Amino acid sequence: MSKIGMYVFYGFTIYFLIDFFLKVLFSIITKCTVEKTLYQKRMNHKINYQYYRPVSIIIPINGSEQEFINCLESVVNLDYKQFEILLIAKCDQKESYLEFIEKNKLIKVSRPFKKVLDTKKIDCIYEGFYKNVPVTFVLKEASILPDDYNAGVNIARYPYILTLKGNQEIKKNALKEFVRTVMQNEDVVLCSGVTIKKFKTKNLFSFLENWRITNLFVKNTCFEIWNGNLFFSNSFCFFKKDIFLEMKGFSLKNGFIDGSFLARFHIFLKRLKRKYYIRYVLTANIIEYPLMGKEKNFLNEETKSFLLGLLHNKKLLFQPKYGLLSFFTYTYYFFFEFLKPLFLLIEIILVLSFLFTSQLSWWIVLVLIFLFIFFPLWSYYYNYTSLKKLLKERKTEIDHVIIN
Amino acid sequence: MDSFVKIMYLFLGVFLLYALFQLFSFLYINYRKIKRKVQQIILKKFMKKEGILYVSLAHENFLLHKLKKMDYFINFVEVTEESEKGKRENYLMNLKPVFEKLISKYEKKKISFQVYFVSFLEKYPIIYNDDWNKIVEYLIQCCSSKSIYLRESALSSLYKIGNESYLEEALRNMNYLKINHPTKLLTDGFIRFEGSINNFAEMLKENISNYSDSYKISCLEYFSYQKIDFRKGIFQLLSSPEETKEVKLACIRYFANSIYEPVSKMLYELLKEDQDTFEYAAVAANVLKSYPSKETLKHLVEALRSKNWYVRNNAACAIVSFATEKELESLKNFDDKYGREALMYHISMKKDVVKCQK
Repeated sequence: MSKIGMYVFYGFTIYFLIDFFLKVLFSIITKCTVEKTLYQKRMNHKINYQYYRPVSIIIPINGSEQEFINCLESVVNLDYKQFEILLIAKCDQKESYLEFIEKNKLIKVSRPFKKVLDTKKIDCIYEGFYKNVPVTFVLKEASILPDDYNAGVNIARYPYILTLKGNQEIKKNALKEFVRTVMQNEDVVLCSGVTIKKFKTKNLFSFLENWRITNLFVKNTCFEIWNGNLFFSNSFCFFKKDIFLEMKGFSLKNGFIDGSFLARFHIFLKRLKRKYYIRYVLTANIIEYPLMGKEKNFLNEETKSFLLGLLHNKKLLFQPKYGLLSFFTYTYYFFFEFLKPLFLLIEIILVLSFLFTSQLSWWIVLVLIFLFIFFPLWSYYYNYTSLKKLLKERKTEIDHVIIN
Repeated sequence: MDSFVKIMYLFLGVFLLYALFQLFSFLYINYRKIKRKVQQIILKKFMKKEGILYVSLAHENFLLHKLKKMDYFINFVEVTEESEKGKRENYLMNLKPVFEKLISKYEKKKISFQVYFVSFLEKYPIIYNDDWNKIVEYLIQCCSSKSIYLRESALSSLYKIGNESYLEEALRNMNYLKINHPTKLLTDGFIRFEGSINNFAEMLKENISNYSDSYKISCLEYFSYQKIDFRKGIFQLLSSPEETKEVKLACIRYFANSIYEPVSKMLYELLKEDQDTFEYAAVAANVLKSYPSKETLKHLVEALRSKNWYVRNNAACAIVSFATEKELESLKNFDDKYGREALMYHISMKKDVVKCQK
């Protein structure tokens, strides 16, 4: 029994070593990519356009004007000028928006639109301008975030969509960076950038959230190499409207956030045999402020959507037609993210049992402690500094502090 | 157990390499920062020494030797940008032979470096805009590159020079090599052309029939924006069965700005063709705003019954733009529900605009 246990222990240790090697590799690739991006940033040669393709920016809002005004201000100050704003609000909170509607002289219209995506009922639409930018204010029945985005896409006038949230602030150059990516290659169907979350107080949840974001940043930077990204935030995506409509928009099955939409994009476009690219743009960033009292839910929602998204796309596992997306990205997420907590638990039980029966030497235990505790913290800190550097180098472009 | 110990050693070895990588990257980044500052100080001192009217041979040789390296070139650009405006241009003009010689080095470099070099040239056309020279030749060659950034930077330089024959050559090459440059960038570039608009438009008129679709569309959009009179030529393009849908749509859009009565009949016909492709009908409805008449109104009202949302919407918008109050009043009870909805939306929008203006 102990021999079998020993083999199981070896197997799991090797699994954790592979995980370790991959993490080292990802960390090095990320560092090099960040440095390359900053070097290219110094060679400021990129095409500088304020008008290229029109974009509809969809912002679901919640609560009073104070909750979304910073987001709206950051959007109005973007250095790309060809866009409209769609604010999606809940009709049961109508009274809290009346002041905003009156102040900006938004007018109620009977705007006809094509309801391609099935969403909750739209109560009424107001149109007008906010600081010379066309604004459409939509009041609809309360629903989850993906439903609000779907409703926004139905009403949007323009061929490209950018999704945001009321508690975010977009950086001045972010939209221009996305448009540049599309300009560079018309086959780019979807892009996302780096999201930073800024917590009012530093605690365990803010640390865990930063940990999650940093890990996602590292993986997205690496998987970008073979066009194999699988997880982008719903609330910071830039995509082609027609393709989004063809694949029936965000799914409402996954709850508050649709964690599987990127996988569906891949599956849909591969099935059509279309040439496409999904890009992770390091130079496009947003800051997200968790809502008061929802800091803990925040983490749960993201993690839950990630796990559900992974499980809903099981068909991506070991499928030759999806190439590296299946054999590397999905496999990595499935075995080294999804199953990791389970394997870690088994490994700890085995180590403790072998330690009590004196079958393991003390230095191997030390190495394992290093592997499980010290190394993740070390690599997290290193990656986090890379992320910080990427944002800090460009602090001239925004007016406020970026990172906590 | 032995093999397990070996694996542990392997793990420690990789970790050590990781730590070394971090140390090395930290040292390398700081080394580059220091190197950059030192190079900038050297360059500033040299530039101060040099006169405005001529540059010494020693300085030319020094720059020729140093500017081959990308880092040094970036520093050079940053230092020149910081220097005084009038002096800077004179200094750079004197360095024309250096840049001509540098071309042979830069055309072999990575695309991103070439883009940087060309974008520098784009900023200072004064270096090379006097006559046909090696730099212009290189810029024309860059217009046929695979990189959109390099193409756009090179084209921008040519727009700044304002010589239509250089652009003719560049566009001919791009068209021949089937380079797909975004239409919007080309149109915007044409608008930025700093030479004679008439000469440039004449050049485009002569060549438009030889161009591929995306170039044709750019030319048409440019004619439309600058209101260049080429109505007969464009009407012929629109009537030609060989032209593609996108080109024909651009032709139709041209007639929104340049009124040409013979085209209105064709637009009425296109308005009815919304079964297989709705685009012709939708664009025609939009353009008919510029041809207000009773007959136009009759056709647009008919288009309100279209099954396509875009056709209905554009037809409603066009009707509201020129129909009288009486005509609009009579249409308020229009029998098609969707058509009436579109019409009512545009009427309400018009009223709101009037209110705001008051």
